[in-house]
Amino acid sequence: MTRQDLRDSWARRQESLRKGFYRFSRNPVSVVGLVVVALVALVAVFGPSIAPYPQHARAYVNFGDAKQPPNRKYLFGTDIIGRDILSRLLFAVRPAVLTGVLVQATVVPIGTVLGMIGGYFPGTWISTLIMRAADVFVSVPALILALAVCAVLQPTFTNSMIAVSIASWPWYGRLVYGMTSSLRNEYFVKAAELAGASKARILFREILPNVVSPLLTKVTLDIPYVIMLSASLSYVGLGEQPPIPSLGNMVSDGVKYIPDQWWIVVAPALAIVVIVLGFNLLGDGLRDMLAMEDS
Amino acid sequence: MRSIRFLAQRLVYGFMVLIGLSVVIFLIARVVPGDPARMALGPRAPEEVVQRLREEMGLDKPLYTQYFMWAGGVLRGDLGKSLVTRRPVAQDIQEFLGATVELALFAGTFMATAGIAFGVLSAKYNNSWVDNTVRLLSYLGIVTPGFVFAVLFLLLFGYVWPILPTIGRLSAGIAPPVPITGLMTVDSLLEGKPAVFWDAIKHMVLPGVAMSMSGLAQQARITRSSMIDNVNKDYVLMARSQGISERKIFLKYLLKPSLIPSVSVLGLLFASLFGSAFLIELTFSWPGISRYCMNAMLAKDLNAISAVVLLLGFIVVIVNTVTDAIVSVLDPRIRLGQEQKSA
Repeated sequence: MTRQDLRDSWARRQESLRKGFYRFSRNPVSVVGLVVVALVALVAVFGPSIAPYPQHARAYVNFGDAKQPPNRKYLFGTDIIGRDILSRLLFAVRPAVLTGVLVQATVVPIGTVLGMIGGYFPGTWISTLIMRAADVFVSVPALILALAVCAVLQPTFTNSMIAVSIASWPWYGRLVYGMTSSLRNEYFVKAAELAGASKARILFREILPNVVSPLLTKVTLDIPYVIMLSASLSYVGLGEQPPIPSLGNMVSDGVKYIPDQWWIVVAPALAIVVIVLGFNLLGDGLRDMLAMEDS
Repeated sequence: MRSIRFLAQRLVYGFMVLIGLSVVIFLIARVVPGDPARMALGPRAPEEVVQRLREEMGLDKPLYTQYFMWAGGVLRGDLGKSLVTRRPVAQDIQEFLGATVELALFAGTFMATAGIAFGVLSAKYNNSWVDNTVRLLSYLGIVTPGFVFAVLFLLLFGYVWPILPTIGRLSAGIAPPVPITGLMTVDSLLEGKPAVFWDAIKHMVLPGVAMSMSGLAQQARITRSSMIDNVNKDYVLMARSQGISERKIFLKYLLKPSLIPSVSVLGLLFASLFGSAFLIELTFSWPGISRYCMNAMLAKDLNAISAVVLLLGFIVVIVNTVTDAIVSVLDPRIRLGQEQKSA
């Protein structure tokens, strides 16, 4: 491998990346997804700072202004005790997005490492243990597992993230296990083994880079799923506790007051749909971009 | 015979998964900080009584002994006592399981038939407005969480156009039928009361459809994409060139292979129905096992939680095994693949 070869391969990578971005930008649906996700990310970061009535996201009561439909003063209306729905929404986006990102940040490394170990050393007791454990966790629907874990722990935001993580890791474990099993027999892996590379080096330098692409797609498509899961948990009351707003608990509060004060439920419900939709569109766009690159 | 062997393999595998699940559930339940005996008796009970209960419940023995005691009890049908209702959990489950099973069957049937129908329709009229509408709606279906659908239906059909009931399984004035199977629709027909039957069906519509929306959308998408893939396959071209009628091609060469991924996914989707049942039953006050478990979770009723989660895991394993069996019937490659492996 000469230095020129390395420069060439880097140039090729850059070129295909540029082509990928071009393809991505041609697809209107993916661009919409990207825009929505960017907006959601901005709200997650700056929402609490731009909220018109930030004190409404904490313990606050104002019966004088309660039950107002969307008007000039309160853009999305007020709820039953006078809190501005828009401000609470802006505060609630942050934990939702945080859950999506943090859970993935925890689950992906753990699941990947476990899956790689399982796939690279098949037949050993540790591999069987890991994969059987993954099978067990997969056999229970994710929501039920997350509910059960969250229920036995205290209902806090951190615990709901732990619960969702426990329910999500097996999917990555299994995906990486499958890919590692098939990659194990590739020539470049065998060559590295023959050359005497350590197991760790093979796993992280040979196998991992080939696993990254489908993994990335899955990660982006899973973020909305994790957000939905955590919204479902907080709908039931296992997440952020009131008065701290979260998308799920705002919806469950609002259910009690339909149809008269319909805006209390519709605003957070729409927010959930928009956030999840945005991430899904982005994920689909990324998947198309990466898939075409492979073929 | 080979299919039976395949089925037996899947059952054994499922059984191992269930054992693993029981261990996990047991560990989760024991992880809870706090003393179950103290929680059962309350803070004012004297210490000797609590200690006696602790010994009775076996809490002083090592963890694996406790596990085997619990597992033995489960196999005998003794699922412990509920802290909330103070009755055997098995009795509680018997009372509430029928409601959830009925709802899940309704939602599952709706999801499977409507999903496959829409998928087939969408594939047949590929790229037409029908196709685009179905694609858009199924995308929205996937993107919207189950409880949002529940709330939406509550709003639209409970209040804006109040055509369907939104609470419980039967209207207030109607006497429930004798619980023979636990399914109100079946029981009311067995008793010969069609009015009760229709009332039960009307009550099932909103929660059932809300529960099925997400699965329906996924089912439609998968059916559609697998049908579109198969339309371009060589054997379809050959069948056409041989002059086989379009109808036969559609049924035998397109539908049957396309159903393979559809049906495999159906098992997973049916399992996820039980998950979304938790939120739906809560919203529509449906007296099912999920609502029972929900209340148990909020009250930290460990016996009830463990029993219900184990039961749901059991149901999921059974459903997946049945689905695998059906898929192996539909797809000869799987059956033959199994033979080659065992040969």
